[in-house]
Amino acid sequence: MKTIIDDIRARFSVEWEHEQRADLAQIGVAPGTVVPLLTWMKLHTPFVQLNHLSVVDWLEDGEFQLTYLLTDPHGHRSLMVCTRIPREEATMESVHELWPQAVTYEQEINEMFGIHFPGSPRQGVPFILEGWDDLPPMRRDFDTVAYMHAHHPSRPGREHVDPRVYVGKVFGERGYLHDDD
Amino acid sequence: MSLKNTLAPFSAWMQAFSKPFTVPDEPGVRPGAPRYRGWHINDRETCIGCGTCAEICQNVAIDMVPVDEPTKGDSGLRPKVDYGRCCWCALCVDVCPSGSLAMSNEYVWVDHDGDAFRYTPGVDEKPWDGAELGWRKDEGFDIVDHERVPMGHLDPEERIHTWAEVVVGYTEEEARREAARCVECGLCVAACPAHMHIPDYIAAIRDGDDVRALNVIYDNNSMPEMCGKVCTRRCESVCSIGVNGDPLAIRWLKRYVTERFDDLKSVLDVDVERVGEGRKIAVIGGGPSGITVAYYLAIRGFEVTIHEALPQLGGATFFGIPKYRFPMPSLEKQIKLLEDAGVKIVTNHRVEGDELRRMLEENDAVFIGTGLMKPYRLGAEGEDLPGVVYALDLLRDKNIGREVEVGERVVVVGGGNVAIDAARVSRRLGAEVTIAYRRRIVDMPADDEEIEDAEAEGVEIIPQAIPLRVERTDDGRLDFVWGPAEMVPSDRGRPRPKLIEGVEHHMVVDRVIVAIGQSADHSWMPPDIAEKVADAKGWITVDHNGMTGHRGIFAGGDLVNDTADAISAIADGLRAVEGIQRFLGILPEREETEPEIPVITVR
Repeated sequence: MKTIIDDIRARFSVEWEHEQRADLAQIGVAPGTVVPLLTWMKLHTPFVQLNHLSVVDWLEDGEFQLTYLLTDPHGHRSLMVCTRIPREEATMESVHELWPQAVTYEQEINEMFGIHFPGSPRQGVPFILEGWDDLPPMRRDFDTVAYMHAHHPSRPGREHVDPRVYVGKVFGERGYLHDDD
Repeated sequence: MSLKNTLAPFSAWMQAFSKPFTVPDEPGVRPGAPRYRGWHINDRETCIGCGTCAEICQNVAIDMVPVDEPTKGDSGLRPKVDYGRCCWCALCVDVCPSGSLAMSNEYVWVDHDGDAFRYTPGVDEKPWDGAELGWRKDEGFDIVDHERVPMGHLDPEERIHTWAEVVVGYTEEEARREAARCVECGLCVAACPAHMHIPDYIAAIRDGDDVRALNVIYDNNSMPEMCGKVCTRRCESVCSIGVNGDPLAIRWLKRYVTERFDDLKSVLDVDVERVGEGRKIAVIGGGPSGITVAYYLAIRGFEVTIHEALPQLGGATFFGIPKYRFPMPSLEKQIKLLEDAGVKIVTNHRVEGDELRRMLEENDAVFIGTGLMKPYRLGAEGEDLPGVVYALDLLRDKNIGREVEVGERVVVVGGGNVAIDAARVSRRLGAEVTIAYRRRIVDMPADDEEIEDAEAEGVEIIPQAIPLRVERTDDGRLDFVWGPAEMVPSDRGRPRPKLIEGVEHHMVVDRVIVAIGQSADHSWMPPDIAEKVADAKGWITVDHNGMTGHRGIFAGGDLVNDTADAISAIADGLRAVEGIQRFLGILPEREETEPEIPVITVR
C-alpha cells in the first residue's frame, strides 16, 4: 500500500494517511482533489473499481465525511479516499461519469444525508423513501424516535412504565423546596 | 408495444427445462447463522429492569412492564418487545448494562394473532429461551462507558503530614464527562435513603447547568456537600453501569456541584408556603437529622431552635469525621444556609433536667437527634488504664481544637469507619498505627475506599485479632495483648470469630484506641419521658411520621435507624419534616395506599 500512497503523494496533496491492514489503507484529501485523484487512479493504477461510497455525519464539526472505497481486484487490496465537506448546503462533485454505479450511491446519499451531487442523474428522485418530508433521516440531528411517534401509531394496548419514575414513586421520592413537588 | 416485449414471455418459457442456476431449498427450516439476530432472549434474574434497552430503541419497540416487586437495585420491570416495530438492529443488546439481553438465532414464528408478537423475553416462555446461538454483545464492546473518570488524591506520603483534604475533586470537564456516563435509569433513587433525585442532578451536570443541579440536590438534602465528600453512597452500589463496570461517581458529582457555590441562599430557588408561621419547634442535637428538620421547617415559616451540646453544629459529621475528609469551611457553609433560613442555633448547650419538659410546653413539637455518643467498652482487663482511650473522644478532641497526643505507637481496636478515622488521624499525629479487628478484612464495616486509603497511609491491619487485656509496662507504656481467632460458622449468617486458646501476642503501644461502636445516652431526659421514648436498650422506635411513643416528640438519626450513616439521618429528618406538619394538622394524615403506578400509554 505504501507504493500507491507514495505515487499519489507525488501527484496530489494528501492531508493524512493511515494503513489499517496490509491490504487496506485510508488517505484524506481536500474535496477538490477527489475527482482528479479518482480519475488518475482509475486510468493509471490497478485501483479501478469503486466498491462503495459512504458518509459519516460529523455533526459537532459541522462536516460530512465522504469515503470512496477503491479496490484493486487483482491485487486484492483497497484504498479508502476520504474527504470532508461542510455540512451546511452540502455539495460534492459527482463521480458517476467515472463509474456509472456511482449514480445509485449518490442518489441514496442525496436522500439519506441531503448531500447534493450536481449533474448526477437521479438526484431528488426517491431511493427508498416515499413521500419523505422531513430532515434526511441519516443526519444525526434527525430525531428518529420523535418521527416514529409522529408517523407510526403503536399497536393498541401498549403500555410503558418508566423505571426512573416508577422507582421514585414506589420508594416515595419527594421534594421539599417547592410545594408542588 | 415493441416486438421484443411481445416475445419476452415466450423466451422465458424456452428456459423452462434448462438446468436452474439456483440451489433448491432444503426441506424444513434452515437454522439462522450462528450470530443471527433473531427473537430476543433475556435472563430474568440478571436483568435489573433499568430500561436502557427501551430508551435506546429508535423504533420505540420496547416497553418496560411490571413483572416483580421493585427492590433496591432492581426496578422489577422487564422489557417487552413489539415485533411489529423491532428492526432487529440489536442496539438494545449492545447497550444492555447488565448483559442480560441477547438475541437467539431463531427467526421463524407463525401465529395468526398479531398480539402474540409482543412478548416479554425471559418471562413469557418461548422455544428459543436459553438459545446458545444468536447475537451477543461483542467482547470488550460497549456503548455505555464503563470506566469512571478517575479522582485525584493527595499522595499518601504527602497526606500523612497534612490535614488537607485527601480527595482533590473533579474539574468541570471531568465532572461533565463522568456525568455523561449515566443512563438515567433511576435505580439509585430507590437505594438512596433520602431518595435524592440523582439522575436529574447528574443530567443537569452533564448539560452544564450547575445551578439547576444544585437546586435538584437541595430539594431533599440540606447537607449535600457533606454527602458529596463522605456519603456511604448506597446509590453507587446499585448503579446499573456498575453491574459490569465502574458505577457512576455519584458522590463525587454531588461534591463537584456543591463546591461550586459559596452563597447557597442566592442560588436556591425556594418556593414554599410559610405554613408554619407562629409555630415553634425545638431540635435537640445539631447533627444531619436535626439540621434537615430545622432547614426544611424554617423555610416553611416555623420558628426553629437547634440546641447543640458541642461548640459547633454537624453532629458526628463535625466531631467525628476528620477534617481531611470533611473540612470545616464545607460544614460552615451549610450552617450558614440554616442561619439564612432563620434557624436559631444555640451551641455549647446540653439539654438536661426538666428542660425537655419545658421545651414540650413551649414548642409545638420537639425533634431529638442526639446520636450515639456513649462508646462501647472494650470489655477486657486493663481497659481503665491511662492511655486506653475511646476513638469518639479522640476524634472529638481533635476536631474541636484540643491538644491531642497519641505517642509513637498506637493500636486501634475495631473495624468500622470510626476505627479507620482514628487510625488515620493517629498517623497524621505521627504515630505508627495498627488496627486490630476481630473478624476478616472483608467483614470490616468500614468503607472499602477508607480501608484502602488507610493502608496506603501505612496503617497495618491485623484481622482476626481478639483483645485479651491491656497491661502497664515497666517503662510506662501499654502492653496490648491479643489472641488470634478462627472463623467458625454462625447461626446469624456471617462466620463469627472464635478465640484460639493458648496463643497470645503482645504489642507495646502508647495508646489503645477503642472503636467498637457506640450507644445512646438518654440520661439527659426526664426518666418518665425517656421511658416512653426509648426501649430498655436505648433504641428509639418511631412511627411512619417519625414520632416516638411520646406525643409531640419526634426522633431520627443514629438513635433510630440501624445504618448509622448521615444520609439515613437526613432521610429520618425528611420524614419528621412531613410528620411534624401532619401532627400539627398542616398536612393531611398519610393514607396507607399502594403507590399509583405511572403508566405511559405508548402512542
